[in-house]
Amino acid sequence: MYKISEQLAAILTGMEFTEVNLFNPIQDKDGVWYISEEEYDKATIEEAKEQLKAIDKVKDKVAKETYKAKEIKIE
Amino acid sequence: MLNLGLGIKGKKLGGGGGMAATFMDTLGIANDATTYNTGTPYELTGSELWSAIEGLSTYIEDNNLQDKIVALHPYIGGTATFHKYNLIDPTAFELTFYGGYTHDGRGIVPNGTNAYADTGISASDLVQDKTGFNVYIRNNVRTNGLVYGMRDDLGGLGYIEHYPWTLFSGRIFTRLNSTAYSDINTANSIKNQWIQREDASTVKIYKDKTLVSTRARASTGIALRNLYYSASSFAATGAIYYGVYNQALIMVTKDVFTTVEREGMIDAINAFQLAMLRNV
Repeated sequence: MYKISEQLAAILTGMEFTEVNLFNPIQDKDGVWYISEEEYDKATIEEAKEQLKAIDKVKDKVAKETYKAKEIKIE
Repeated sequence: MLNLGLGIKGKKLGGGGGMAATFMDTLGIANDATTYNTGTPYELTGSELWSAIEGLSTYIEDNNLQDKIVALHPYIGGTATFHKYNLIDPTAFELTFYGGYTHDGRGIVPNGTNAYADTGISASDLVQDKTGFNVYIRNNVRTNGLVYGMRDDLGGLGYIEHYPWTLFSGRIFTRLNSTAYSDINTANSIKNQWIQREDASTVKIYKDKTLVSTRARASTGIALRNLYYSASSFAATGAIYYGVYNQALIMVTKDVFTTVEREGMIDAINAFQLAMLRNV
């Protein structure tokens, strides 16, 4: 997972990073935005790759477990 | 059409309307010796992929099951472009993938965090109280179980939220392979898990040809949102996480299959998996 800014999340949302596959930035319960490693690593479309340059691959990378989805009740 | 069961250059006679040819032509895969997934355990020629799809489509067409199926996405391995098309009608319900997916010879593997696919299937494409869902996933499922079903984003801050028990005519999607639900817990993968609403009050869950659960579930109508393919697993805390499971085939139905039809379809799906060099 890579932390991204809210502004970058807005830019990436709905943008293709490879054919037929769109970014899906997600936000944790603390309001931090992320994209997945697959979205970063598999990007082939130039516009997407250009936007991903804003990510510092070392500084912004976090473990997947860092992202915690909202808890909901399960029956 | 009389199905003579003869083969000519790898093509089977019978099978009605050429569903396989339409599908494979749409994918751009020629019936020839070109190899796909080259250098992997799933390497197949174009002709072998054609044969795998022909086996599946022939069963469907010979038994007129296309009228009961809304969409069937057979993940033949390789790319998102190969995986986005609906076998029943490649011009309808083309998938759009979101988030982190891996497409390879196994089929589709979501990343466990934010991957889902929008089918474009909406309430008007489904039939209340007759909707079913078949998923073929190769992996074993973690003991916390797996929910497979509809993504329903209720507007909460970008979370990928699942409320499967409230959707699709009332809880047709349910937790699979959970130790908390011993009736559908198995030690094996959830391949050929078939969830079928039989009527306004009953949902049945099959694994392969075995009925593993009959549940009283009142119909509450069909959700007004698109159907999204995805999978969630449940951590011990109850938090939802997307599951990382190899998905080989997904089918959505709008009419109840007879036992003969369902079991024949399961045989056809298993044959497809074997033809794809995947274990069943």
